[in-house]
Amino acid sequence: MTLLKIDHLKKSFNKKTILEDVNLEINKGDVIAVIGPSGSGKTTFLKNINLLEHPDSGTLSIEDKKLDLSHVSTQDELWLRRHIAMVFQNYALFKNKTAFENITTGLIYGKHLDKKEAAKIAEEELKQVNMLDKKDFYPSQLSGGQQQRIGIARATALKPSVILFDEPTSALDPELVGTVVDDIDQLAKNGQTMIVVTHLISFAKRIANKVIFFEDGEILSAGTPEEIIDNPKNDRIKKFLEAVSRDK
Amino acid sequence: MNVNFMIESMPKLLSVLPVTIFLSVIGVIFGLILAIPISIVREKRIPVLAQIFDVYISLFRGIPIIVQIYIVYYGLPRLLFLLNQNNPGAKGFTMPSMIIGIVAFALNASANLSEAFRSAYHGVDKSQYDAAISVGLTKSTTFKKVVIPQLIPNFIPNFTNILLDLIKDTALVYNIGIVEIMGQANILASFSFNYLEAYLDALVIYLVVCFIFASLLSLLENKIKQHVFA
Ligand SMILES: Nc1ncnc2c1ncn2[C@@H]1O[C@H](COP(=O)(O)OP(=O)(O)OP(=O)(O)O)[C@@H](O)[C@H]1O
Ligand SMILES: [Mg+2]
Repeated sequence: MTLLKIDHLKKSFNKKTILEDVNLEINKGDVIAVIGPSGSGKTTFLKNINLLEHPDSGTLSIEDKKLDLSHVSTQDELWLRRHIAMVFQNYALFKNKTAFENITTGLIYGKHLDKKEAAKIAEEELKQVNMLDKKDFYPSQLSGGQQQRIGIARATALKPSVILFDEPTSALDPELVGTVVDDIDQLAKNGQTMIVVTHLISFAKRIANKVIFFEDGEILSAGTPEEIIDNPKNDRIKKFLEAVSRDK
Repeated sequence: MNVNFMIESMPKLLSVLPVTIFLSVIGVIFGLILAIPISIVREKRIPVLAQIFDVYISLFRGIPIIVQIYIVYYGLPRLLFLLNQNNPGAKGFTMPSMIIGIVAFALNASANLSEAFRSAYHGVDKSQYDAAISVGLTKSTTFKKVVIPQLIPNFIPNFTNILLDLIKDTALVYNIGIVEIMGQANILASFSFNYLEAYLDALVIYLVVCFIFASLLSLLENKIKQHVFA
């Protein structure tokens, strides 16, 4: 069943085209891994999906609503963000809020739940990521891995249809990557639909049922992990995978 | 050195300390009131107004404050007279020096404060804004709950500097007839030619006052930081 459909997404900055006619169809429960060279437009792609940046053109369909991305009303924007959450590369936890408040902020001021309800959800989510004992800690008092788990809890608490992950592990010390990867894997197993931009090819293979390779703002190739990662047909992808594995 | 004179003059100087404090504190408060809309206009780059404020700020930051004081002193009454010309009863305007002083200080402070706002605002990582928007907050809630609370502790150190500068700059307003610490020191000294002694008294007062304000504001900064960032 199609959950999210993006058609002819275009974005440019100062006349420089960054996204060139991107199309993507996502089914419920899909885990899409996005790989590709630095600067190919992966972050821009995610930010244009939840309208942190505004596309020049394109359409987005989700939950039987179709949005013309070239002009979305503020109301539709807010509506869209109740369905699409995001996890950031640098965690981007609210520095002025505790772990607990990081989770409740969106629930109270975004989804307009009452405080009690929000608190209940936040505690559940904190338990999920094993961080309940840190609920009153501020981001500056948490390790990168702990911050990212809060970042994930903040997104899942919103019960979004889709979660966008922008290189969720790339700012982490190597020994902290594991727990965050496990949390995301667990989410995937629970049937959460997500798009995950990552440089970790093994991670992509582990969680994704579909991999897309981005280059120069276009989807150069899309397919199963076996097709794209294990048996890449395209020379560009082969080269990229070689380079990435050499870095390790 | 006439120590006796120093001791005797001290209370007389302290008696005008409220003028110094009033002028700088009221100046900085009106400066803040002006700086907030100026900062918003410049940050949003609202056409025409933003450019005007850019010029305004570089003017005020580029001209010695004594010149600003004189311009307001001679210019403001003239300007009000011109604006009021249609009014049949209009006469020449005379204005209390204190008002002139406050206007000059408020204008000067507003330019510096809006620069301080700007750097405090840019000190808040853009991803904080993105994250708040991404969890469904409106722009205004994002500012209220995330951006502004983080901007304030960034702002206080610069605010402190601006306030201390204003306090020190009040030493110039005796030029337009306001008797504050410096004016009083001049008056007291001129009777007996004990200039050094009078200025040493003034020095002590400025030092103590600036120290107290700086300490209070840094206390406030720490309190807020504790509250905001733990
Ligand atoms: N706000 C912006 N203004 C102008 N150019 C931008 C902006 N954001 C991104 N770009 C440009 O868009 C291109 C794609 O950037 P993007 O961050 O999406 O790449 P990426 O694939 O996420 O790279 P990385 O793997 O390094 O994170 C880059 O050339 C970048 O310079
Ligand atoms: Mg990126």
